Amino acid sequence: MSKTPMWRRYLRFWGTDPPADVDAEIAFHVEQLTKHYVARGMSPEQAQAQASRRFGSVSRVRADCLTVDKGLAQEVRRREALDALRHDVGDAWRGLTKHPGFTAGAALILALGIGLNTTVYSFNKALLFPTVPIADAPRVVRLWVQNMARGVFITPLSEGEVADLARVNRSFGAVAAYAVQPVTLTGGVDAERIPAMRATTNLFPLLRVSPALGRTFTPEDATGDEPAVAILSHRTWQNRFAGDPQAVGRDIHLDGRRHTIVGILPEGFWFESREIEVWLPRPSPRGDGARDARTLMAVARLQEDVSSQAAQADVQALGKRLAQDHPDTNGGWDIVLTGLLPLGPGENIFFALVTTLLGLLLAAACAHVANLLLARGMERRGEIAIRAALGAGRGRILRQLFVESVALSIVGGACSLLVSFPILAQIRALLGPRTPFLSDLSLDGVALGITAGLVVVATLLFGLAPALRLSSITAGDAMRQPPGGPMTSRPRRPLTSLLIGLEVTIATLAVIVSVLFVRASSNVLSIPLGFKPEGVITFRIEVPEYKYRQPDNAARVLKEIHTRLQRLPSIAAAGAAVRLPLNLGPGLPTEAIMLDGRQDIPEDQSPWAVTSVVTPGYFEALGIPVLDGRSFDDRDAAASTPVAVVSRSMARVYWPGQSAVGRRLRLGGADAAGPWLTVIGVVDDVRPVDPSSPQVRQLYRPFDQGPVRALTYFVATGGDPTSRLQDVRLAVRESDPELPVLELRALTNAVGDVLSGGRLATRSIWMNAALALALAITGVYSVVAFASARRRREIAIRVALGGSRPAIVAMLLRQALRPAFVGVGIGLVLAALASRAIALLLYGVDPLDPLTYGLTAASLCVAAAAASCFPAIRATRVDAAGALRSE
Amino acid sequence: MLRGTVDLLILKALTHGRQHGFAVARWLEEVTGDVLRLEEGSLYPALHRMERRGWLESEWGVSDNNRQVKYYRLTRRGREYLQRETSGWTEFATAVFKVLQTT
Repeated sequence: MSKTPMWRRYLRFWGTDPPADVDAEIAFHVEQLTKHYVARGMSPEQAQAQASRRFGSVSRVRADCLTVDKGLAQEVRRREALDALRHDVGDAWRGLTKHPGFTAGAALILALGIGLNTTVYSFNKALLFPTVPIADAPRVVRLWVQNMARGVFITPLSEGEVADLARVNRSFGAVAAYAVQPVTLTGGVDAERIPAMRATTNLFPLLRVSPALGRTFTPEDATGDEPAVAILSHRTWQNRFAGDPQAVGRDIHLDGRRHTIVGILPEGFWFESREIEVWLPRPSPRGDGARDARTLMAVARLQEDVSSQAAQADVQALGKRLAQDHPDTNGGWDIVLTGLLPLGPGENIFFALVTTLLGLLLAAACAHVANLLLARGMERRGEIAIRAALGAGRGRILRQLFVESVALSIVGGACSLLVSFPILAQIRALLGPRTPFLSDLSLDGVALGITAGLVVVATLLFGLAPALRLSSITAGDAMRQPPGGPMTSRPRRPLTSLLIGLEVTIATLAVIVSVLFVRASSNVLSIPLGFKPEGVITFRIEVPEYKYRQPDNAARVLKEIHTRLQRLPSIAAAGAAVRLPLNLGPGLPTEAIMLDGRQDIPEDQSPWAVTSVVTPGYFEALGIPVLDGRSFDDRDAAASTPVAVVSRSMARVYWPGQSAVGRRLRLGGADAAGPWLTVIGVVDDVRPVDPSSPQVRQLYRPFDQGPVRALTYFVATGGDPTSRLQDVRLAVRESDPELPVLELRALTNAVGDVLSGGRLATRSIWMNAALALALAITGVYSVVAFASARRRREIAIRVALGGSRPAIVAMLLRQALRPAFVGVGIGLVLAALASRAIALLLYGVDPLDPLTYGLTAASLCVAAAAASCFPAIRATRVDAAGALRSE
Repeated sequence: MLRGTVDLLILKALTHGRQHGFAVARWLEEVTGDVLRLEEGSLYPALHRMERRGWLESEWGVSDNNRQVKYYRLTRRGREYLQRETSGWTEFATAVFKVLQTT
């Protein structure tokens, strides 16, 4: 913009006046032009006419110039605004870099706060609201049964139960049942076991999935008539058929039977597991189907107007009716409804607790940063007062403080990514393979945005009070109140006391709950397994029905593998069982039993046991000690006396105070007709994953007397198991080269996988506790440092007047520690309430454990005292003359 | 006249130092022998436009006969633009001249 002439500047004090400028320019030109022509000898009239001809249309020139100038004015305004912003950002940047300690501290706190909060939010969201390729997924529910008395939590249903549910429920229409079961695909180079799902034909309509090609199942598909049909996942279609549109209508051989491909599922669709390649129809469950074999998973879609609570009540009532109608098979069993991810009440409380704790931590972090800002603001009283004196408006000062808060939040938010990404990557790597919902866990952008926004709002709110206080400083204040602080020793503002109290409360709560959790999970991890996984190789063989149609043949090949393994050189022992020695799933299969001579036991306490079928050598291979009697050997053949081995806990519960060996029992309920089994030995308990489970009542039967089609083998190598993997593979190949060896690995790895979830949780909880503690200590430190700095003058005068330094330190400490002690007290109460709520998860730990509470309270008090000591002592070391002179 | 030509002439006029619009008009008349016979008013929108583009800057000053008048001055960017455009113009004129010379 042009510089305005002085004379007009006075007239136009409030801004530029482009029209007047343009008029002045034009008038000057026309006047000069006229003079020019007069000088050349024209008459004034002639000269004027000539000049205006030569100049052209005055009005057009004026309009053109003004159009250009108006644009210019806008640009100037824009540039000025930009300049101001750049100025503010520059100021903020200078302010932040001038105090690197403050900036680094604040950014670190914010990074941890934002980062952890976003991570946990993303994780919880992935678990509680899984992103699944199913329309309106939250309305889809799963159905389970459970038997608390037997320690069987959410487990699949039996055929009869599904049929009853489908028939009489009022909360959802159809119920679809399915089971995941691998099938053998032949026709390629090698026979392959591929993951498959057998589902009732109403599953796809229920999930509202339409095929990419072909069709989904029709009710006729499940009749069992030829030809059998199959539906492929999109990925399998791409991988095995190269996406050929002609694949629909072609045949594949599954389990030795011809299946016609009738449809391809849409890209990206998965249900239950991403790995499932092929979908087969299964008949709808029938009301007269089996009731004691619980192998069917079930899903349903809630009706529009039914809440999940109402549906839960509905199925619970149904469960009670089933228990009355079929006391043998349903007594003690409840029907349970969960979301797509089966989270129990314990997990829900856990998530709620962790989320709340982290939210509180974030609040503490914000308060903390606000406090730092406040402290720094006090130091800058002088600077701001001078700015105010130099004419900076209140708005300008507020804006600068605002820009500083935002800048800090941005820096903190950016650093938070450094916290979030590694944690999420770790969770994904650890849990992704087994939890399809987590395999694409990623940082939730919305969560990050919201958290960062919250931080900005919080620091602003916390920062607004000091900012307003600061911005109202007048030049006079600056003179009257030097940076050293006011002379009055009026009580501390309640805001800072509140901050100390809040941070200490949160820290107490977080530390106590975390310590209880960590102790509980280390209790869980330290429970003896009951077997020795070191040096043991494990693998699984499933004998396909299409190849070994007769059960005898299947048993023979499994037995042959066992024999070959036992003959391997330098093998300590080899055995097999129907599953891994840990409870891997949601619940182990339990069976009702009847004890010989104990018919007096009331029906609702009917005895039961977790049953398993094992080969001779199983207990030896796993190092499970035989406590009484003997373990299985070749004497226990199919034709000899039916026998059983029981666990220590089972013997103790059912034959207290006496030897179990020689006792007899029978599988099934009161009217069971099976043979009597004679107990020949007692072995030690093998723990289930859930340590509080009563599933240590274990009953083993010999393989020959209860043959099965699949076995998990255990080979004790007595050395490094990985060096013997090839021998094991060869042993199987010699028996039947076409049998795939599944899940071949060291048993320690298999066990580690099962327990890794607990370790991960423990580690993240530790981190939370450490963070809360660190925040509290630094928080108390900064609050006290701030308070001391504010009273530097007062302290200096006290010292100058001969006040004893210890007395002054004590005074400062008293003022800082009072709110800290109140915080510890409130934190203890809150922690007691919280741990009572999660007592279920605290295995082997008293929720009100006095040691944990006492030590935490004591250490927090010590930490608060230490954190306040340093700044307080430093404050008294002040050079009295200097502090007073700084006035 | 070709679009942008007036701009170039004005910039050229200002290479010797700051001038007001009237002086620019007189200099053009003198140098060209008044062949162009342009409407002098059209100089002003051009001056304002070039100021906005950052090729010129302006200030108010006092004229020889003691009148308040707005002076324009070349900026660095304006000078660079003039150099670029001058060589472009020369090439263009030479080319046209060559064409017209062919018989």
